[in-house]
Amino acid sequence: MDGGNESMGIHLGYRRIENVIFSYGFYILLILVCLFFSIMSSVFLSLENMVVILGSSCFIMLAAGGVTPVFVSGNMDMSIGSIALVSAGITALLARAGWDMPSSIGMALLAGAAIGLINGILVTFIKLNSMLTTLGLMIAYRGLGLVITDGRTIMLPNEYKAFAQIKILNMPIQIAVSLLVMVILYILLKKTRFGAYCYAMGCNGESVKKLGIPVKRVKVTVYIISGICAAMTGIIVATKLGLMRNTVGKGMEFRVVAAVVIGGTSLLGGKGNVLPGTLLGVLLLYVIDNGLAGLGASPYVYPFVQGLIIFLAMYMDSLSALRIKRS
Amino acid sequence: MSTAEGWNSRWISMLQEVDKLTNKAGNLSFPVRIVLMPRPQKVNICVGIVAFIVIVVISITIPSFLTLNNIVNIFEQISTLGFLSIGMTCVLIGGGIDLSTPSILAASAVVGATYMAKGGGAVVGCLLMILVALVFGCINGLAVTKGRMIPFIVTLSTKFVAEGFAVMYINATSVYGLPDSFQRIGSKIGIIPISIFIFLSVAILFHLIIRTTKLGRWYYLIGENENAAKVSGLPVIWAKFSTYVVSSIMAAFAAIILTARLNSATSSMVGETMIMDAISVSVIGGASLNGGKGNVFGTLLGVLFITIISNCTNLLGISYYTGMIIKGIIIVLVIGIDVLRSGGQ
Repeated sequence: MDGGNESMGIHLGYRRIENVIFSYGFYILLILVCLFFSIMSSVFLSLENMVVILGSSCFIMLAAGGVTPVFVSGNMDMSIGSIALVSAGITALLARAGWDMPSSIGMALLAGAAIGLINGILVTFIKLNSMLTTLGLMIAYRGLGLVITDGRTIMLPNEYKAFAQIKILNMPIQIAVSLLVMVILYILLKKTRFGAYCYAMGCNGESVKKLGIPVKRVKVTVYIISGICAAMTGIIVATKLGLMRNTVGKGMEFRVVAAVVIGGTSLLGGKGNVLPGTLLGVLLLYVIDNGLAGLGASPYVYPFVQGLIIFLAMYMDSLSALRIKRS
Repeated sequence: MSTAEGWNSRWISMLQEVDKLTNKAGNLSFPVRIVLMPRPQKVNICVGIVAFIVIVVISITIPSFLTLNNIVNIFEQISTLGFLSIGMTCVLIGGGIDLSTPSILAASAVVGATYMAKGGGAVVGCLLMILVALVFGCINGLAVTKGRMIPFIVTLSTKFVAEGFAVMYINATSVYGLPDSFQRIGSKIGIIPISIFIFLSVAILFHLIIRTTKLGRWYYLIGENENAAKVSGLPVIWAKFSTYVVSSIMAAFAAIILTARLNSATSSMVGETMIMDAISVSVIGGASLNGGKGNVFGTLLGVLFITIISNCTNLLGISYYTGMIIKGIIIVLVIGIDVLRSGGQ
C-alpha cells in the first residue's frame, strides 16, 4: 500500500487505480463475475436467464430488503428465517382449515408483524443485545413453526398454485412483488423522515436521543417491517412450491446477512441502502449459482465458490472502509 | 455511567492498585505493571447457585434423571458443545466472535475421516483434522488482525467457505468405515466415556491458561480496551490471532470426538442451532459480546445447563420442537439476566 520506493508518477497512477478498486470494489467484482460467466456461456446474458436469476433470488431479496433498515439503524435481526417458517405454516394451516386466500395470507403477515413487534419490544424496552436476542428467538420461533405444523409437509389448495402463476407486466408475481417491496423500502429509507431517523440512529445512538428523535418508536417499527418482509418471504416460498415444508427459511438468516453486508450495509449501522446495495448483494449470490449451473459444474461446488466470493466481497468492503477512516 | 467513562475510571483504579503492589517490587516497566494488574474475573456464583437449584428441582421431579445411565449419557453429549464453547469463550474474552466453528468442525471431520476410511492411520487422521481446522483458524485470525475486518463478517464468510468445502470434499455423501483404533476414542472405559476425560483435561488446561498465564490476562485486557492494550505495548495482534486459532483447534477436537462416537462424518454433522448454543453457553457463563468478560469454568456450567435442559425435555417426553421453544426462551431470559447484572454495575 505504501509504494515508497517507486517513482512519483507510477506511485500516483497506482494510487488512482487503487482508489477506484477500493471505492467500487463490490461493483467491479459483480461485473467481473458476470463478464466471466457471459464469456464462458452464451445463454448467461439472455433475457430468459435474467428472469431465472431474479426468480430464484426474489425470496432472499424480500427478506434482505426488510432487514436492511434494521441494519442501518444499528441493530440486527437473525430471526427472519424462522419468521418465514412460522408465517408459511400459518398460511398452510389456515388454508387447510378452509379460510379463503386473502384472509389466510393476511393473518400470516399479521403474525410476522406480531413477531417483529415482540423482537422490537425486547430489544428496545428491555434493552437486550439485538444479535443475541434474535439468535435465541430464532431457535424459539423455529420450534413454534414446527410445533404448529407438527413438522409435516402440508399441501396448499390449488388456488394458491394458480396465484403463484399470475404474471404482472410479463413478470412472475413473485418478482413483481419483491421488486415493488424493494422500491417501497428504498423510498422509505431515502425519502422519508423515518429513513433519516434510521440513519441517524445508526450513526450515533447517544446524540440522537438528545435531539428528541423518537428512538424507541423507530426501532420497534424497523423490527415490524423486517418481520412483515420475512413473513412475505415465507408465504411466497410456500405458494411457489404449492406446499409448506419444515425446511422453509432454514439457514436463511446467514445468507441474508451476507447479501446485505456485501451490498455495502454496515453491521455497525448508519450506512447502506436498499436499492443498488442490497439488491445487487442478493443478485451476486444467485448469479454465481446460476453461472456455475450454466457451466455444468457439480452442484456440490456452488457453496464453496459462493463462500469464496462472499469472503472476497467482504474483504474489499473492509478495505474501502479502512481507507475512508484513514482519509 | 457511559461506557467510555466507566472504562477510564476502572482503568485508573486498576493502575492505582498496581502502583500499590509494585511499590515493593521496585520500578517495573509499564507493560509488566499491566500484566501484574488484578484480573477482572469472578466465577459467577450467581449462575452456580441457580444451576444447583435447577438440578435439585429437576432430580426431585424427574426420577429417571439421577440414574447412572442418564448421567453418563449427559457426559457423552457434553463434549462437542463443550469444546466449541471453550473456543468461543476465548474469542469472546478477546472482544471478537467466531461464527464459523461448527462449519470448521464439519470440514475437518470430513477430511480426516476420508483419509482414515481409505486406510490411513488414526494418528495421522487426527493430525489432518487439526491441520484443516488450523488453516481456517489462521484465515480468521489474519483477516481480523491484519485485514482489520469485523470479526462477525470474517467468520460469517469463513463459515460459508468451510461449509462449502465440506460439501464439495465428499459430494454431500457420508464417510464411514473408520479404523478401530480411531473408534476407541469414542468408546467407554467400563461405563465412563473416554471423551469426557479428554474434554475435562482440555477444559482444565484452558481454565488455567486463561486464569494464570500472561496470555490469558492479555485476552482480558484486549477485550476490555484494545487501544489501551496496544498503547501499553501488549502484542495485541498476536494475542487476538491466537484466540481464533484456539477456537478452530477446539473445533478440531470436537470433530475428532464426534466422528469417533458416530463412526461416520458428513457435511451436516452438527445442527444449525449449534453456533447459537455455543454463544449462549458462553454468555450464560459470564462472557459478554463486548469483550473482556467470561471464564472457562462458567462456560462449563453453561454447557451443563443447556445439555441438562435438553436432556430433561427428552425425559419428560416433550417433543423436540417444543424443546426448541423452551430453549430459545431460556436463552433470551439468560440474556435478560445478563443485562440486569451489568446494568447494576
